[in-house]
Amino acid sequence: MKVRIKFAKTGALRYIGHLDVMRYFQKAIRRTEIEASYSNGFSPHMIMSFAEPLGVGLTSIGEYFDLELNYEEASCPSGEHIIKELNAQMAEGIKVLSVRKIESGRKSNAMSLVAAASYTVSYTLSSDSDREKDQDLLLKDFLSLETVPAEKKTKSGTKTEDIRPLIYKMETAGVPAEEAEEGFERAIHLFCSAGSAANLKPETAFGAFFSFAGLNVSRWEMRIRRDEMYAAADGGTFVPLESLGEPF
Amino acid sequence: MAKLALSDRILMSVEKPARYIGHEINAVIKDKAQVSIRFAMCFPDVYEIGMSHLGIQIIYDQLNRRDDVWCERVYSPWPDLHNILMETNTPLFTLESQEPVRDFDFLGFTIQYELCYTNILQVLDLSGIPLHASDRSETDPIVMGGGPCTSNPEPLADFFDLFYIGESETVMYDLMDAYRENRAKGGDRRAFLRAASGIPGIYVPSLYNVSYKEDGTILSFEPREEGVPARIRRQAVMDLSHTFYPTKPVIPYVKATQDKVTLEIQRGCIRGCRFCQAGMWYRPTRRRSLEFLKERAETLIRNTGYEELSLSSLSSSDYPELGELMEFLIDICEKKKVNISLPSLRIDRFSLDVMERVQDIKKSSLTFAPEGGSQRMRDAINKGLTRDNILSGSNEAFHGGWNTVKLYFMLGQPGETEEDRKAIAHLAEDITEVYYDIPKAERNGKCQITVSTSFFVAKPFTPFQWAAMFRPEDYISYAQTVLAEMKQMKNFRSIRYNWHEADVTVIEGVLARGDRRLGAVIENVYRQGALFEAWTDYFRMERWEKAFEAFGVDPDFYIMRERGKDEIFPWDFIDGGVTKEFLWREWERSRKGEVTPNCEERCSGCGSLSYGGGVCPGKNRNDQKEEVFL
Repeated sequence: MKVRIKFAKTGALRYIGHLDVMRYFQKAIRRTEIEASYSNGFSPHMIMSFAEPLGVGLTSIGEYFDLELNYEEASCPSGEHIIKELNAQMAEGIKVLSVRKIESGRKSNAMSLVAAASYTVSYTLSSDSDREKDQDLLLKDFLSLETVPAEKKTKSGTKTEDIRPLIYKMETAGVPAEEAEEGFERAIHLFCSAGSAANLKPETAFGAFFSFAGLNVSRWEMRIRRDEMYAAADGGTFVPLESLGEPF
Repeated sequence: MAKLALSDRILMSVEKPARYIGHEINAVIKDKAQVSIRFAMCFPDVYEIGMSHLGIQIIYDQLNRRDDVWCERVYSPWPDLHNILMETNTPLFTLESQEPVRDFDFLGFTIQYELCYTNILQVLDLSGIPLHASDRSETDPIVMGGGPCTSNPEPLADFFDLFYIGESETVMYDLMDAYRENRAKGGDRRAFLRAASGIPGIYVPSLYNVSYKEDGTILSFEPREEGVPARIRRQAVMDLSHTFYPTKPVIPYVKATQDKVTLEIQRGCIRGCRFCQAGMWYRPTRRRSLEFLKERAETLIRNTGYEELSLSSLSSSDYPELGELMEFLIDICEKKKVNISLPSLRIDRFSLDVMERVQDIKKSSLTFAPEGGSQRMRDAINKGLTRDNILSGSNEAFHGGWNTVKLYFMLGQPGETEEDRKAIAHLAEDITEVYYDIPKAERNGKCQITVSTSFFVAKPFTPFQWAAMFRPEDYISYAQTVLAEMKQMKNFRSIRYNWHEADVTVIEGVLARGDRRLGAVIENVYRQGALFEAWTDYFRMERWEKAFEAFGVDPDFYIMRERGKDEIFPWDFIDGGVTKEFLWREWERSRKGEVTPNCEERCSGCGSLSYGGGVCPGKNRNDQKEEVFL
């Protein structure tokens, strides 16, 4: 049976890289009684697939991976039980949020489904003149631009691409609790294209906005959180990856 | 929100920030207000190397079992962070509490190899602790060192308050108790060190005076004060089945160099190779019981979730119940899909059967470490591996489907001749012949023999501690001899040859048998910017040459000189178990090409019987000098 696991990665663990998170979960699952399915051969590995890697330094409350379990549907422990077992093995900062049953097969793979993602950037402005600027107005002006050129690193160097079509929505948001506690004062919510077809890195989008707005915010003065990942649905809409699975 | 010592700005600008954030699974967090001793344990190399080390995990577990001690970890910051910490004046911190090392009671180093000496100074420097023990004040941590390099701690004597000579399982608690007792009495740093010097195995270098003869060798090595022991007995734990061994090792997020559970099956080695320090230093051979290993293997797999389990030992094949242990491990590992790796196996029918079951033959290779190319050389170094062993093992393996063989040799060993070097090429050729003798239909394409040579470094507490070494250009010419001979071989295309750096060998040689006069050199090399010298990219010979020059130290004194029987060595104050008389006998036997039987065949009276245990029954002892030990 195949399940989709949603988890949060916050606090100090934002510095753990994508591959490290993968190895972390493989070990955590082995520490439980949950039976994962393994590939054949001399070095069997768990059959798992992670959705869009999260950059080092970013937190998330909407991470996903799909995992093949070695159970028939009838004999599989409940989703609630699996959440409990896994959370008993988590480090401070990583928490399993939901486990859903999903269809088998490549098409329903978390990795290939991701089409959009949402993010919240929290930041603080240090200069008074910057503080006087109206964020809402600046966002409106930014979104009215026809093109937003941004530099993108490629294998052969850097190239400039237009990221405007990849930005679906950008608006003022409330500062999330964890960030507010650390003293961050402002926040912006971003909804944008993600996945293998056209992935927009949130730091690129926020960076472009800050530079357009003339706000002085360096990479380490902002904290970016991924809020959710989405699959494309009918009529140009998007649904959270989680909603494609069923509770069990 | 978890506390971090470094700002986002710093963490975002260094490679692998996860090296510095702690918070790993099984890391121990205590309330600092509830403990009386804070201990920072350091492996002076990068995190991924340090986290692969079993010894630290044992000490970490052992110390944290005490409610009054909180042991935390610290590793060498990589050069990128090193520079930032220097520029921003940020003190080095431990991973658990993320608090400055300089606020701790103890800073302990495990000293595993000579080329990490400059990293020890880095950790002291970044912590804001004076490099010299004599400059430290009451508020500085007690800086202590342990591990294999303390078989000769003298080059580091200036920088350490004390050395712990031997295994942590023995007197670590006594040392902690002495510290608390001294503090309760209101004793100062000096009083503690004086008290510690009374604990077996604890060596306080500042309490000893060394004087030298005109020729540079040691005239005398004596305690400065009455009551300080003249000799320090290496401490060894005799019952390895009833002692500390972690059940919940810390699991790193970053992929460690050894990303697996380590199960140490035995300590010590019965073989007695004459170049091998570990084989002499860890005597007598002590084995963990089968029962203990079975229980611990299951517990460790359950508590860590690692996908690989590795047995650790100097010569795994000598563990008497290896067959039964392997049956058990294969069975439990199958259930959780855990891979098993078995280093240091003798290649025979049994081990090939085991390897066939636990490894993918197509991807794995066979490893032999003959160390010497000719039988004459192997006899001189007491490596009990014959050409027949190697060829018949290869033959079995080739028939079993393997076609890759790795061979390890040492060049520049005492008494080695040009013929011995050339013999390396011939042995490799002989193995290819074994392969190509198999009918074409039954073999698996071409075979690949990889020959690697390292250069011999003479180490304390080995029969070769009297031996002279060579100059870098000599070492390279020896490797060239092997290469030239290799090219003459018919099956040269099936053989690959690589050799190690020669400069590094010379520095290792100087430090391994060095004395207190090298402290200034090490410090100067660090001041010139040396860090991570065990990493080929970071080692610079020029720095050492400059420092030798600046302090008038002649490296040849340490490496180019064959020592006489009566010379006092810097490490002679250590009673390591094996006696100098035994080592000298072995040195003489080596020169006569005489083989010494292993400890299970016959006792050769090495001296470690005095520990009263291990595989060392003392029976069949035929040696004339047995009165030394009785």
